[in-house]
Amino acid sequence: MKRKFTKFIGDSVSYTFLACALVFFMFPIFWMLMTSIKQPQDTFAIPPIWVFKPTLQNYIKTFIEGAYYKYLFVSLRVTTISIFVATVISTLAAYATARFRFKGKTGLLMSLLVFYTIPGIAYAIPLYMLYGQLKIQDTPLGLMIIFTALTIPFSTWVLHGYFVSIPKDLEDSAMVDGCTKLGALTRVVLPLAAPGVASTAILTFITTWNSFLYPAILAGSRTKTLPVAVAAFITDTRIEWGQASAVASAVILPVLLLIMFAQRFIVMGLTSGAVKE
Amino acid sequence: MISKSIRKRIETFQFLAPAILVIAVVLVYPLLSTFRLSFFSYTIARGLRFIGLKNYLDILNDSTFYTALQNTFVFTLIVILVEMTLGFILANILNKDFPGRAIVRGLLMVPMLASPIVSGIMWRFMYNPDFGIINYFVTQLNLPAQVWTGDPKTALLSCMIVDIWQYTPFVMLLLLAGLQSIPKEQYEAAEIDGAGAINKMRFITIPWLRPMILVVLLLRTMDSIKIFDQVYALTGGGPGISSLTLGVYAYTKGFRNFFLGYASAISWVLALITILISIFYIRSIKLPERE
Amino acid sequence: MYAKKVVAILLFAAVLLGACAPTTPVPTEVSNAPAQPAQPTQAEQPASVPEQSAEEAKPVVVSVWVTDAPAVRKAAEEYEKLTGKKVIVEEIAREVLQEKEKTELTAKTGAYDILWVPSEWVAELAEGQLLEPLNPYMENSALPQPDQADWASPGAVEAYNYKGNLYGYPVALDTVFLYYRTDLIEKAPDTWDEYLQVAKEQTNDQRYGATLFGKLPESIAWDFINYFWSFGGEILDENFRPTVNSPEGVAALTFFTDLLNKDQVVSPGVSTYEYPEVLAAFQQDKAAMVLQWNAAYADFGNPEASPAIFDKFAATVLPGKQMEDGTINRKVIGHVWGFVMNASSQNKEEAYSFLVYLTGKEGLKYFPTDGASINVNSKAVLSDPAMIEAHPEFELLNESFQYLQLWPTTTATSQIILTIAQEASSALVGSKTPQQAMDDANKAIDDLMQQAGYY
Repeated sequence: MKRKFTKFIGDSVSYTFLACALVFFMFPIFWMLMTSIKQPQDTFAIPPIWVFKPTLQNYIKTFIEGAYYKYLFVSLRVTTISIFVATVISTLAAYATARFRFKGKTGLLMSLLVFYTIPGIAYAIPLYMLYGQLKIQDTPLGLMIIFTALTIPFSTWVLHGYFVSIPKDLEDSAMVDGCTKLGALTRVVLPLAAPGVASTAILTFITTWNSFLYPAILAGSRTKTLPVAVAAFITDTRIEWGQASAVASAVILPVLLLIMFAQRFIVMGLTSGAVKE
Repeated sequence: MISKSIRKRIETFQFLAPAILVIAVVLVYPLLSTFRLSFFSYTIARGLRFIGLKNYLDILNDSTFYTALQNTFVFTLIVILVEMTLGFILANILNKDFPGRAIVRGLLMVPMLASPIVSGIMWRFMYNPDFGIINYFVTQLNLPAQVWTGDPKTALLSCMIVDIWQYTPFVMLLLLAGLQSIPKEQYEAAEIDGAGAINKMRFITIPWLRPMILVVLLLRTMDSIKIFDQVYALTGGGPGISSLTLGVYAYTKGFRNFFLGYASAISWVLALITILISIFYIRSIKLPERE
Repeated sequence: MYAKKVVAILLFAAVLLGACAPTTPVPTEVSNAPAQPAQPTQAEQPASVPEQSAEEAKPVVVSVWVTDAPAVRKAAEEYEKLTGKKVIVEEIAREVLQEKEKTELTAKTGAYDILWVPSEWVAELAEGQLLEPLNPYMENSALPQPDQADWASPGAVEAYNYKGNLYGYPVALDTVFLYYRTDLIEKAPDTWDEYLQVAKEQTNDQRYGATLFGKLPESIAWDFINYFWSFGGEILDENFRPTVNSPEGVAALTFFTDLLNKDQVVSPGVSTYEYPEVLAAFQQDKAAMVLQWNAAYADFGNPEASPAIFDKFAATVLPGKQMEDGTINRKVIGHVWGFVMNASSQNKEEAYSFLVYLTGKEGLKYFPTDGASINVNSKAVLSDPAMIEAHPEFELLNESFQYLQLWPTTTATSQIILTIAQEASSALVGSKTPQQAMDDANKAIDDLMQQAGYY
C-alpha cells in the first residue's frame, strides 16, 4: 500500500511538473501563432486580447510576396545531405574512439573539441576568401562542405558518449562468430544506439537548418537558405509584428513535420539490421 | 600475412580517416589562418601590420573584455545548472510510459526548432516593455514591470531565459535517448532485490548515463561559453555592455569594426579558456571510458 | 540483406547528390587569374573592350539591401530592355549588410561589382584601396556619363569624394524631422528647452511627451548626434583630435539622458527603440512628439498604417539650442546612401554604365515608390508633379538641409559612430554618468584615430 501511495505522489508531482514545463516551452510559440492571425490593431492591445476575430492576411502577404518555396528546398537539400554525410562519418569515427585503443586518442578527441570551441566568426573570413578563390562560394557544394565539417566534432563527441554506454560483450560475441568490426558496428551497436544516433542526427539537422552566419556570408542569391531569406524579409523596416510572426511560424512548420517522421524512420532503419538474440 | 597489430592499425585508420580528412581540409586552414592573423593588426583602411603579441597584451588591459568574460561566466554557470537539472528531470519523466508520451515529447522539442532569428523576434515581442505579454503577466502578479532587454540589470537575465527555453529540450532529448538505451532487465532485477526509486537512480540510472551526462555537460558548457546568436539577436550586447559576452565581443570586433587581428586574438583566448575548462572536466571526472 | 540496405542508402544519397548538379548554374567566369589575390589591371586599358556582344558580356552584379531592392530590380529590368545587358541583383538582409559587403570587399573576389554603401564608409574603404575611383571612367567619352545638371544634392555627391577621387554616386539623402501631434500641440518647440517643456506637459497616463532611439549597435548615436551638435559639441578638432567630452558635449548627453532618467518624458523602454519602435510609438498614440527619419512621413500619413493619427500630425525642423547671443543653433544629421564600385570587379566598364543609369533620373525614379529612399538625387524626379503631391514634406526637407551635417570624413568614422553609441547607451541606462561616458568615448576615439594613423 505504501508503495502505491508513494508512487501516486511521485507520479502526480512528476506530471504536474511536466505540465508546467509544457506551458513554459509552448507558450511563446503559441503566442506567436496567435499574433500571426490577429488584426493589426489587436496586436499591440494591452491588456492582451485572447478572443478575437482571426485573419489570414499576414500569411497571405507572406506567401505571395516571398519566394518561400524556393528557399525551403535549398535549405532542405543542403541540410539533409550535410547531416547524412556528417552522421555517417561521425559514426565511424566515434566507434573507433569508443572501442579501439590507439595512441593519441585523447589528443584526437581534444582537438575535435578545439574545432568545436572556436567561434564561427574565426572561420568565416578565411573561408570566404578560400571559397572565392576556389569559386565555390554561393554554391550548394560550398555550403554542404562547411556544414558537414562543422557538424563532425559535435556528432562524434555525442556518438562517442552513446557508444561507450553500450556493453562490449555483445559485439565480442558477434566477432567471435566471425563478424568484422564494421559488421559489429552495424548489426550490434547501431540497433542498440539507434535512439542516440537518431537524436544526434535530428539535433544536428536542426542546428544546421537554423544556422545563419555561414549561409549569410558564404552564400549569395543562388543558395539562399530559409533563415537568411526570413531574416531579410523580417528586418525590412516596413514589416510589422503580425507579418513577422506569420513568417516565423511558417519557418518552424516544415522542420517540425520533418523531425516527427524522421525520428521513427531513422530508428527503424537502424534497428532492422539487428542481430536477433 | 600482415601482422595483427598492423591490421588493427589499418582498421582504426579506416574508421577515423573520413572524419580526419574532412576536418583537416576544411577547418584547419581557416584556423591556422586565424591564428596567424591574431599577431597582426588589421583595419580596412591600413591593411595588415605585424604587431606580434600586442593584441594579446591589449586584451589583458581591456576592461570591456573583462566585463564580457564575467558576463559569459555568469551566463554559462546559471544556464548550465538550470538546463542540466531541468533536462534530466524531464528526461526521467518522459521515460515513463504514459498516454500521449510521443506527442508531449514532440511538443517539447519545438523550442529547439526556432532559429535564432525567429526566437529573437518572438522574445523581443514578448519582452517589449510597452505591449509585451511578459510585462502584462508580471503586472498581473503585482510585480513591477521591467524593461527586460533595455535595462542593464535584466538584460543578461533575459538572454539566459531565452537560452534555457531553447536548449533545455536539447539536453532532455539527448539524456532521454541515453535513458532509453538502459536495458529494462537492470531495473527489473533491482526491483526484485527490493530497490526503491532513489536507489534505482543512484545505482543504475546515473552510472549508466554518466558518459552521456558528461558529454552533454561538456558540449553545453562550450556552447554557452561561445554564446552568440541569442544574445546578439536580443540585446546586441547592450545596453552599454551589460549583456556583452565573449562571442558577441569577438563578432563585433571582427565584423562590425573589422579589427580582424584583435577579433582573432579574442577567438583564440576564448578557445583557450574553453580547452582549459574541458581538460579540467575530463581530468577530474575521467574521460568516459568503459574498460 | 545488409548489402541491400547499403545499396539502398547509397542510391538515395546518389539521387540527392545528382539532384544538385543540373540545378546549380555554373557561374560564367571568364577571368584568367583565379588564384591571384592581385587586382585585375583593367583600369590601365580603358578602351580595350569596346565591343562585347550582349551574350558574351558578364552580367553586372549589384548588391543592395532588402528595403530598396525592389527599386533596383525594376531599374535593372528597364536597363536590360534598353541595352540588352543583364544585371543581377543580390539582396542582403539589413542586419548583415555591413558584414557581407565589407567581407566581400576585403576578400577581393569580385563577386559584387556595384555595392550599396553609405557615405560614411567611403573613407576607410577607399583608403584600403577596396573601391574603384570613378574619375578615369568619367573621362572616358565612350561610356555613358551622369547628367550633372540634374543633380539635386551636389553635397551628397561630395560625400563620396575622398582625397580628390570620386568613388560613387548617391541615391538619396535622408534626414530627421520632428513629428508632432497637431491636436495636442499648438506650436512646435523651437529650442530644446521648449521641447522639454512641451514634453513634460504632454506626458500623462495616455502617452509620453517624446521618444528617443536607444538601441545598439548604432541607432542611439544617430539620434544623440542631433542633440550633441546643436549644443555646440564637435567630434574632432582641426587636428583630428577628439573633443566629445567638451562641456557642450557633456551637457548634450546630460540633456539626452535626463529625458529618460530625470524628466521621465520618454517611455522606460526607449533603450530598446530604433526605427520600427519609434514608428509604432507615434502611430499607436504612445508619444506626442518623435524625432524620426523623413521616410516615415508617408507611413504616418497613410490612413491604413496609422489610423489613429494620420490626420492629426505635422512635421517640422528639429529644435536647436538657444545660444547666449539669442540665436538658435540647429544641426540635423544627414545620411547619404549610394552605390560604389568594387576595386576587384572584373567588369568595370559595364558596371560603370549601369551605375550611371541606376543613379540617374531613369533609375532613381523607382526608389521613392519601390524603395525607401525618398529624397533622391535627381531634380527631374523630385519635381515630378505626382511626386510632389505624394510627398508634401519636400518643402520641409529643403528647409532642413540648411542645417544638415554629416559625420566627419575619416577612415575611422564607422568605429567612431559605434563608440559614441556604446557610451551614450551606458549613460542612458545609468551605468555611467554623462561625464564618465564622454570621457571614455574621448579616450576610445583617441585610440581609434591613433590606430588609423592620424597622429
